[in-house]
Amino acid sequence: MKRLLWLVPLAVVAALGTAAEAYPQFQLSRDQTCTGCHISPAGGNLLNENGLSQAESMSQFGTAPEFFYGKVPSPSWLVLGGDLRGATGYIQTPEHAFVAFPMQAELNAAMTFGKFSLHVTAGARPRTVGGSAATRVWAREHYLMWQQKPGETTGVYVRAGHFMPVFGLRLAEHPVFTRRYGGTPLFADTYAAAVEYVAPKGELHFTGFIEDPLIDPVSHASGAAAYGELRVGEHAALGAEGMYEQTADDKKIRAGITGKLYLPGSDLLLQAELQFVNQLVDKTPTNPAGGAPKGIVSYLLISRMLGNAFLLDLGYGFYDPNLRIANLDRDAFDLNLHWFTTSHLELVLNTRYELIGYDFDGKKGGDAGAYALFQVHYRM
Amino acid sequence: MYRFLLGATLVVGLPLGACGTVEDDRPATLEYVTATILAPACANAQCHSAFHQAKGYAFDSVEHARTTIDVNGLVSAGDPEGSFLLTVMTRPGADNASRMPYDEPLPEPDIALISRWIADGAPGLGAP
Repeated sequence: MKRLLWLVPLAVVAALGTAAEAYPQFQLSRDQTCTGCHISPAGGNLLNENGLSQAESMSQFGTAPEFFYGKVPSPSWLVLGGDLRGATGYIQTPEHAFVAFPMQAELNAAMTFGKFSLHVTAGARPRTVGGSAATRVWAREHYLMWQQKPGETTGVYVRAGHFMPVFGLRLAEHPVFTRRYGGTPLFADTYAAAVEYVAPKGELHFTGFIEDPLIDPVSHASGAAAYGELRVGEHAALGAEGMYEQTADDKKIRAGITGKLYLPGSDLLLQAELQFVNQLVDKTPTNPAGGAPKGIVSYLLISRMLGNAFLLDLGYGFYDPNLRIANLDRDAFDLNLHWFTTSHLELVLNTRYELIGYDFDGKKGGDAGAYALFQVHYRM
Repeated sequence: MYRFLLGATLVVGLPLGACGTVEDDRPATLEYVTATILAPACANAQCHSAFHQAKGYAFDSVEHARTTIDVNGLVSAGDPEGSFLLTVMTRPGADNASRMPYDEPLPEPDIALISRWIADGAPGLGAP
């Protein structure tokens, strides 16, 4: 029994661990772009002045939103931050277990000198078992950025270094299928170069990336990604995405669309992403037929603020890696409730019910899974 | 509003009815099984990717899968029931044995394909 209890949290961490990122749920309903609140054109991590103000105004007990409540002075060229996360709760996958595990312990720094800035996110990582990484720390992100208009939230950005390509909806919860199976799984950050343009009317992101040559990576792919989003009116946006990935074993071509619509009357934000994946498995002497499964991965998220400090998400995800073969599909139904208690402390209830290989004809393709986890997130 | 809701429902909901129906003719090979099943299902950041290598296993590439299976004797060629790789994917939860993957069990057709690959002699194992 002890062995089981030790192993289960490791797997759940894989499923539910996260890295602090922006909430796209605030786009359109609060600010038009990620850069409205974040320093990075990709969103996530460090907040700018408006982001700090938002963190304070939308929390239940507004506290000083700055790094360590503003009690750690830093020069104007340096912005510091950090995130701590942990979770506990119940999982059924299909076994039943109560779990508790750490999720994230990272520090962020951005150093700006004119139009150039250096960004670093460093912290804990899982140590390989018998692999090359002997430590439990790494710099998940480290990149140099040139910004056309320093101090502003629009314009051209050029980045080079270690980061995740901008692609799709960029939801923070990485168990979401469009992240896990959609080209941006957890810790797939790698060496890349990107040219990005952000404006109130839309944004464009072009990224070339290579397999990380320095560590054993999560993703072995090299390739390119493109994402563009156009605001349609004041409360809607349409996007298109494309990615080419090549590994030693296969190639993947991803193409998809995104849509966002904010309904002011009901304060509902709807976001959807649909991605087609064409995988080409290489032909080899022992695999002469190769293989070319064509799949779909998609997600629909409906979000609403409840009062000032609560955010409710209802999500539905669909993933089928091979549309020709029956009962390979997965359906996930998510419900997340965020409570922004102070400017720094967020409490989250993450729940999911998942059907595997569900068939309307009653044929059974696999088991159902579920979890209900209570997550604590402290932003430094 | 309603047009967007309808569109979003169609975009995301249509796939529900788009599941295939043909007989499973996927190649029962190490290369195909790794690229389409083991890597996406097992090689997560904190499981059996090269990044973490839980229990020393990595299934994120054909090379890693071959080495992992060979070195650890996870497959007994021609004998699915005697292969640990298949056992861990099918066994029910018990006090000392959990089913893999923990977070999202494999669909039965994927387990059947892996079983067929092993029954066929597990081609692709050993030196490439």
